[in-house]
Parts: sequence; C-alpha cells; structure tokens
Amino acid sequence: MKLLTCFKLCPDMDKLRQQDFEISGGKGLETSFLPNMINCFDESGLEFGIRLSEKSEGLEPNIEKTAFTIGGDASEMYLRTLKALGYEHCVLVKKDEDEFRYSPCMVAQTIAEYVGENPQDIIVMGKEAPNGNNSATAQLVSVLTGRPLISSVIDVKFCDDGTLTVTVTNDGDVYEQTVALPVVLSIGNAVISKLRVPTLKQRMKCKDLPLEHFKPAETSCAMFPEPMRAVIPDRRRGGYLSPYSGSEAVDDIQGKFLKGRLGEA
Amino acid sequence: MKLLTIVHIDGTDAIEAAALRQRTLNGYFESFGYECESYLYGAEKFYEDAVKQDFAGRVYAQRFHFISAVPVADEISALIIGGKFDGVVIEESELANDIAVLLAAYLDRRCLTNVFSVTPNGTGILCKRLSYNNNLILEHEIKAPFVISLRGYEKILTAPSGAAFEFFPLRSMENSEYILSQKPVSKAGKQGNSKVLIACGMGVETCEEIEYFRNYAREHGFNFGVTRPVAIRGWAKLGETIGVSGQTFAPKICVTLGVSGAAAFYVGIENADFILSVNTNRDALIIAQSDAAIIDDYKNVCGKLLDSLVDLYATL
Repeated sequence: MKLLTCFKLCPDMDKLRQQDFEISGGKGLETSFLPNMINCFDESGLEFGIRLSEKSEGLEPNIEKTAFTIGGDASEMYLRTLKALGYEHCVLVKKDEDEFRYSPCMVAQTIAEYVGENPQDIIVMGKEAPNGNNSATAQLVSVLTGRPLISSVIDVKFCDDGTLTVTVTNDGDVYEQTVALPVVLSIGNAVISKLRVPTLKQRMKCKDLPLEHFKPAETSCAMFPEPMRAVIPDRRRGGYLSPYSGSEAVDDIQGKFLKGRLGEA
Repeated sequence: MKLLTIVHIDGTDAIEAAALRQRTLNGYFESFGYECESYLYGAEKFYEDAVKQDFAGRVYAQRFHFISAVPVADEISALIIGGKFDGVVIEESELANDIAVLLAAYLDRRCLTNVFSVTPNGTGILCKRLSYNNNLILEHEIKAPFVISLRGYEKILTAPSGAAFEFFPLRSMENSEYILSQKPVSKAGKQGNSKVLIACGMGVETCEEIEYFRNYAREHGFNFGVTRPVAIRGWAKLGETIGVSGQTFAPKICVTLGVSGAAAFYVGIENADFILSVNTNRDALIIAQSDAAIIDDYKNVCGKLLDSLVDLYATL
C-alpha cells in the first residue's frame, strides 16, 4: 500500500512583528527573514503517515510512504528529516514560492502527475497553508486524480479489512467514517499536531541518501484570478494602556471605558 | 445575472440563524440587481413548514446522510447547470471552500475561497480575502461564471430579501460510493451568542486555570475560547479554538488573557465592540489591537475583572 503526504514550508508568521510588515512584489508579504516551519496542517499529516505505517508493521500490505513538497532549497533539510523518520521516498519539486503562491492549479497538477507515474492509495495533505490561503489544493488533486476527497480529517486509523476509519469534523460536529481506498485526505484541526523528532542515529543513517526530484507541471489554468492589489490590514484600536496594575487597573479601565456600559453615572 | 446562494444548516435548531444569513446575503445581491435563489443542505430532513417562515425566495433543500463535500458538490453542480446560474456564493461553513473548488473544477468556473468582502461592480465582483495567516488583504476581481466561498465576511447592512418563498425539496442522499459507514462521535457543544467573550492564550499557565475560566464563563453565560496553541497543548477542545481554524465571535466585550494576538487568532474577535487585553508583554501584538490593555499578570487582575464583567453582563 502506498501513502503520499504532501507538505509545504511556510514562514513562521507568529514571529512577524507589526513594524516589520512590508509588501513584497506587490502581492505578498516580505517574509524572507522569518524562520521556516512545516505548515501545521501538513505537519499533522506527516505524523499520521508515520503512525499509520507503524500500525501496519508486520501486516500485509505494509505501507510505503512518500513525502512530497514543492519549494526552494530550504525544503531539502526538512525532506532529510522525513527520510530519517522513515519516509522511504522524499520528493522535491524545485520551484520558487513566488511562482505558485496563488496558483493551486499548478501545485495540484504537479501532484496529480506524480500520482499518475507513481500510483498511491492514500494522499494526505493539509486543508490550507498560510501564504496563499487558497484552501484549494486537496480538492483539485481529488478531481485531477479521480479520487474522492475526505476533508477536515482529525484522526485516521486502519481497519483490518484494508479500509480506513477517519474522524472528521463538520461545523463542530464530529463523525467517524469508514472509507474505501483510494482516497484524498485533507487534514484539519487534528488531534495529533506535532511531527516527532528523529534521533541523531536516525539522522546519521540517512544523511547521504539521495532525495528524489520531480518536474513542476506546466499549466495554463485560469481558475483562480490573480490578486490585483495587496493591502496590510490596519487592526490598531485605541490601545489605551492603563498606568496601573492589579485591581487599580481594573478600576481605571472600568471608570474610563466600562462605566457607560455598566449603566452607571 | 442569476445567483445561487448555498447555506449549510447545522441541525434543526440552527434554521433561524441560517435563514437570517440567507435573507441578508440575498438581499445584498438583489440590491445590485441580481436574481437570487438558494440551496440548503444538511444532515436533517427539511420540512417546508419549518423553513417557509424564515427563508426568502426560491429555496432548494437537500438532506445528506453522509456529510462530505463531494456528494454535495455533485448534487449542486447538476442544479447549477439546470438553473443556468451565472454565479454561486457559498455561505461560511466548514465545507464551503471544499464545495466551492470542487464546483469550479467540475464546471470550469472561476473561483475564490475565504472571501470576506464582496462588492458587485457591474462587470464582476470585487472580492477581498485574507492571506499570510490573515496578515494581508488581497483584492481580486472575479467575472462570471464564478464560485465564491465566504469566510468571516463583513457585516452586510442591506435590508434582508423579502422575495416570496417557494420550496423545492430535492431527493435525500442516503448513500455514498466511498463512505461505507458513518457514526456520530459528538455534537458540537455550540455556544450561544453571548455579549461577553473570555479568550485565553498561552500566557494562562495551567490546564486547571483554563478549566476555571471555562467554568466561570459557562456559569455566567459568557462565551469562552482559546488560542490554537492552547488547544494543541491539549488544555482545551479543538472546537474551542478562536480564529481562522476555529470560531469567530462578535461580542460587546472581549477579554483576552495571556493572548499574544497572532492574526490567525485576531480574526476570531475582530468584530468585538470592545477588546480588553491583559498581558505581561506590552509589545505583544494584541495590545495595539485592543481598545484597552492592562500590563500585568492575569492572576493579579482576573478576580476583580471577572466580577466586574458579571456586573456588566447583567446590565448589557
């Protein structure tokens, strides 16, 4: 059985300070100085892949795992980590993020072409990633590969009969569904959110193993209109800082702002 | 131009709220000359008597035993072709983006997801959406035929649609080719709309304190939520997350305790009338995003602050 987990590297936006906000290239934010991280939804997907594989150990069929990403050189380090964690195939599609940030069609087409050449039973990816925020790749992969989509998945388990039990959310309701393969899983607010860390021994064992490369797809898809303009939202409010602390501060705020709401004079 | 608005109804008790959203959305587009029809979907059977007093215009309704984007998109695509709709606008729900992209791919239409502002401009629709974890607003123009899914959209001030109600129940979808079985695990413990929201971040130091604030909120009829890192840490349910991957609120007063103010969180509270933040870090993003802030440990202020909120709540 083959499992493909797709992931994307993103800048850690929590490290971005208000004073560093700067538009880059007219349609994006300048984030080149921020540390990278695996998109949180994809990170859950990568950990699910490892757990599913562990559960299938000793069983037939066991799982052959592939980690797949599109991005720049920075992705290589993360692919090596995944190799150390047991992903048999780690595939890099080299492409500058500026060229596909708002082009989920290109990303989906590339994944679909890879799946065409390397058929997969389970395709896992996060439901959205911060930069483009298109929330579209999993759906397009589903259409292009002809596999059904199960979205907002928060947990995955194997059943003895080769089907999957997935836990999904829908507007807060939680369901357990048994689904047939092949399938595309789009990971939502998953219970498991952190990817494990490989040991030094695992890393050393894999450090010279080659990564695999794949070509980005050529596509002229115009489904998603390009942005005309990008604007940094101004979310500043009054920003009154109480000069007091403790209960005096509560009195201060109450007197200045909440008095009217309290119905007091 | 003919438009189909799509609304998910989450349980029979949610009909009234869904109907208000449908009438408001349709009323807005009708004020620009659009002719609007609506499609309702959900896990419950729709009865004409239950929906006719709340919804406006021509309404199609369909029940799905297996709630999943693909069967819903399959059914709606047939309706769109038959009804010759120029545009489709999908109201905010967890499946909205999935359905929008699937429909656009099936029907070869233009598509935008996560749209929070729509303004028809004669040739198409000007849309605004957030990117970069909600730190950047992107402006797009989309021309018909299109599919748009909404998320956290701005308050629409137009009069709700008053179009005469017509009801068209569609066949219930009981089966799915690839979902073999389904069992409910839990129903959302949906919070009503309170005028006060307490939001806890990573600055709240223990699971017990989170539990305390949750119970306090529940006891006094406040809404309660946490930032994503708190939920990921396992101190709160993921369903209690506020922001882009959780719930959005529009309370009269929002009190944040130990919240840093990441944009992904802030989207969930930005419609609050008044934001009061308690944080030890005066450089935290949330401070500038608040109407007022107390720079102190939440433990030093929360006792008196919560008591004053209870007093306030009684008079709001």
